[in-house]
Amino acid sequence: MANDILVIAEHRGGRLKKTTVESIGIARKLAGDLGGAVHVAVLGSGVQAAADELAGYGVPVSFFSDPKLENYSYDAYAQALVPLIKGRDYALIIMGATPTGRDLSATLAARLKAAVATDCTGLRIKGGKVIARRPVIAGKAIADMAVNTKPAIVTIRPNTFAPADKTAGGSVENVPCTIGDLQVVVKEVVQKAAGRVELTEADIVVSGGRGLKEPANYKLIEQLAEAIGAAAGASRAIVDAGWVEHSCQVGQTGKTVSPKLYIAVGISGAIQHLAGMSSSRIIVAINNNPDAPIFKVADYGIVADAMKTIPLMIEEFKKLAGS
Amino acid sequence: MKVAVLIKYCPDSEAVIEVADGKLVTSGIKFSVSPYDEYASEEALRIVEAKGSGEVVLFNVGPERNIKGIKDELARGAHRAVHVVTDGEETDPARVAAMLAAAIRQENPDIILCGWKGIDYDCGLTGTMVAELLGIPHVAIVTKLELADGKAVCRRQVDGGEEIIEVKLPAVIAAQKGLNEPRYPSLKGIMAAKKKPVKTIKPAELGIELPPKGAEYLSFERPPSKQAGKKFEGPEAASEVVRLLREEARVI
Repeated sequence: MANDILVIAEHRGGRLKKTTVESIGIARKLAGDLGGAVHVAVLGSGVQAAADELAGYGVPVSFFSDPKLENYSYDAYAQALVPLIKGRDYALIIMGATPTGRDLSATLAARLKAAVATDCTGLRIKGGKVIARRPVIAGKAIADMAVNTKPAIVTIRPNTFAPADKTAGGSVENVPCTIGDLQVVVKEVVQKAAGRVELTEADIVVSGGRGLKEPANYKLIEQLAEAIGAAAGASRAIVDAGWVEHSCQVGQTGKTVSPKLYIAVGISGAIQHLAGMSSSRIIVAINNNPDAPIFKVADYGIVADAMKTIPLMIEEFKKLAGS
Repeated sequence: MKVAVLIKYCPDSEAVIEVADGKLVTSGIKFSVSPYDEYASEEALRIVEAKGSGEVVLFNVGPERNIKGIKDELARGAHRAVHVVTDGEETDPARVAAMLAAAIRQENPDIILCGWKGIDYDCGLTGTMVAELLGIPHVAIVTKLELADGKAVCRRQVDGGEEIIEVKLPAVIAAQKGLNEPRYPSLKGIMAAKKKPVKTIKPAELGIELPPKGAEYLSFERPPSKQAGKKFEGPEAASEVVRLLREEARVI
């Protein structure tokens, strides 16, 4: 039991995040090296269905159900989880490096006196110890970090680890919890663009930059994104210019994405932007400046006017979808 | 109102980072206050300006060179600073948080602001750890902050939306881009910064026992370099690229 791994699931209204299934995937790989088993915890109000879905990955699932857990807050989650983690003496705790995972991991670390490796892109066990691989300084270097505490806590970069396969043998247990007064009041949860793919979890990301020339042309990015089921992103330049909101920004002071396909449109490829997308598997760049630095990291580059190229590209994608 | 701001002095976002013998080479590169901390510092100034009274006190843990970053923030308007001077760079957030919390206890601020993460090690842990050590609430990735009746109402950015969170003060609020537009230091501010008090403390003088190193960097390496691929000219290349994405790269 002392070598077991706990994955903390993340969901919105019972809908599991992809990063949770990826967490189970890597946990299962590490469990053999640690000599332990993988458990999953899911918290909410009425999350039995999510717990059942998680059990489909062949793992024992502990679920906590309480009105105070309906909306995520670090305090309610930590009050429920700390006794479980202490009681079961987990060796490793894994969750996604999302805003929620980052917030919760930091809180649990403080309350459990544990260390955290944030936003990991690789994990291994060496001599019973967790060694995390993580980009630092916006990906300008890659670090190997030892997490010396028990439990060790890690958050994993979305879209980086292979998701777990469904298998038999899972089980579900309801864990009672007592949650006292909370430090925070969640007044409101504002969902924007429901159903749209989250930038950090998307398989394909299409981003636009200053080469689009004017704010109205950003709709071409949205149309291209829609044509291939991608999430739409942006460079810092057009976020700072007020064309699109900051939640769309890809780069050092925005989001880090690692999709299988990244299409950069009218983005020159400043070092801050490259920091946020250079770990994408395949990069396509469209820019009218043949010397733009983005071409140095692009697998496929098109030197052309973005406004003329995108409509043609949308046509091609539509043809493929129809074929 | 006394507002504490936690600042970090990091390699500038434009700096080129080299790796040698498994270590980061940071000598000779430009350092700056982490951009997220600048939003925190700006917000602190606005809070004090709106109240018409109070002070902004900066806190930093790090080596002597960090005084330059402290002076930069003093030039923007903060009133004074507390610098916990470490021998080298402390990279374990729990140890940094322990030192910050001990230094903050001596000042008893009404609210503590910081950036939601440093742009060097990208952990995003220190602010939360400070709050937990002080036993006060925390809200991270905040894009809007309103203070009234001893409470803070924060707009927090999350995947796919936002949360509106209310906490009692004192609390630690960690700033995200979008919270405000930081001002540039004026010449007058730069001159004034030279005379503003900076209290220096050694970690041993804080009266705490530091936790053992929990998060320990073993080595660093350069990221795998990406090779430039095929390059085409003219908009009509779109069809060839789409074909290659399907048949060669197999990503669509």
